[in-house]
Amino acid sequence: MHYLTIIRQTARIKSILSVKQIQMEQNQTATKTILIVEDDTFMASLLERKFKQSNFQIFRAASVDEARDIIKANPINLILQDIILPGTDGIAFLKELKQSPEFKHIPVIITSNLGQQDEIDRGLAEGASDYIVKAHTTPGEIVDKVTNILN
Amino acid sequence: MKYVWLFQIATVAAAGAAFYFFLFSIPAVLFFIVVVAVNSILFKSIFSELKVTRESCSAETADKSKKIEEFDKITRQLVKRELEVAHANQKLGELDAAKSDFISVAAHQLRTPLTGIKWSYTALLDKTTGPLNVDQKEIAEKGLSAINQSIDLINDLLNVAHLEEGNLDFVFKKQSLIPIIKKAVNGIDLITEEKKIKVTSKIPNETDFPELTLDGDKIALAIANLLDNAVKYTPIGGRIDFSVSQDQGLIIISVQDSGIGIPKSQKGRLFSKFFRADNATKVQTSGTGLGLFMVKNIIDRHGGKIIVESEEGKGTTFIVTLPEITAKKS
Repeated sequence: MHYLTIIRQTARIKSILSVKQIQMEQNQTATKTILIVEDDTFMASLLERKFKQSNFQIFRAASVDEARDIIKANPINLILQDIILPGTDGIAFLKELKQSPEFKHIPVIITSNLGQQDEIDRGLAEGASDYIVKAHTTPGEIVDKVTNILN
Repeated sequence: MKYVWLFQIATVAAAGAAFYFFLFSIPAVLFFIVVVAVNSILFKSIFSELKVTRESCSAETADKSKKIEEFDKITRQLVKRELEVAHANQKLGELDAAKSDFISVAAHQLRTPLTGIKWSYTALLDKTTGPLNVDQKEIAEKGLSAINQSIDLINDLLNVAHLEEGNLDFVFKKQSLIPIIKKAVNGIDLITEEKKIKVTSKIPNETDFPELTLDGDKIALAIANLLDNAVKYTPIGGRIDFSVSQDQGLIIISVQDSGIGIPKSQKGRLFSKFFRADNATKVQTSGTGLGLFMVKNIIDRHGGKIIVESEEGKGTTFIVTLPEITAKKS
């Protein structure tokens, strides 16, 4: 009986440990890094808040220049970017990313309020993983989409 | 003396020669005169003829050069006109592009602040900033619904602008109509529950229904519009009957409601842009009068038809028919 109890206890501890390990792994995989390129600081902050609730690490850039500096210095899992930005626009930055051997693997989701079909087609043709018209969605839905793409 | 003799002989000879010369020269002179006269007459007539010919020739040439000049003038005018038309076309193209750009920019500029408000209400409602009390929740919900209406209005206006420009892109794809229809019908669940409207829907199984070549998003928009109208204009406790069927190569979609109906005198204008029936504006102040205009355009583009049967105060039925064969072809 004594041995049996020890074996059972060990098995229990092992199973608890393995569950914890799985949880830790899950936490590790959940901590993905997103770069939000958005010049509207209020909307960027609402997005950031929502992403942080789901354990994402967030970098924010208000222009393409800032975004360039961030991607050079940090590992980024996905970029969410607006099109109309001060200076270089989002489409030019998307082209630049997709032509760069270093960054072309990073999925880019366009979040813009330009919603005409030709604008959407252009974004997707340049290699965006998705095109989201901001007014038609919510930060929660954007987080869900990002989670799906990263999984 | 001998010289006198010589002189005499010479004089006689000269006289003889003169005589002979004279004798023969008269006819010669006469002949000469006649020849000269005849020649001059001949030459004169030839010259006059030549002159006439030359004159007529030069007249003809003048005529021809005048005509050539006229032709040149017309050609120059045509070239000028053509250049003007090309220029006007270019201007029109530029105006068209400017109009399209304006619509795109205007939509962007309108959407951006609305997105800020929408996301703020959403953040409040999903408790990002902590729980809300009942009143706060209701206010935030009303605010969100109003903002969504404004965003829909912008989209409607954009769609109509594109429809009128003829460049609302239709992407036809072979697909099943049933999931599109089901999604649209599910879309009214919340409001019909709230208004206690009884909804019946007869939708065939996807497997029993042919695949159609259509633009799914546009058909979804059309059906959603018809259902929205039914909900909007049906009073609390009313009913909506929705059905999809197939008959002799036609797909028939019917949306029947027990709503306020359409005044007989206004039925003809129902699919006109910005038109709203008098009784509709009394019941629902919001609404752009663009929905049915869009629906008709979308159905037309699919080669289909839409008809309406209605009695004021009793209800309305919209029947959309999509030709299975035409739809497959397009």
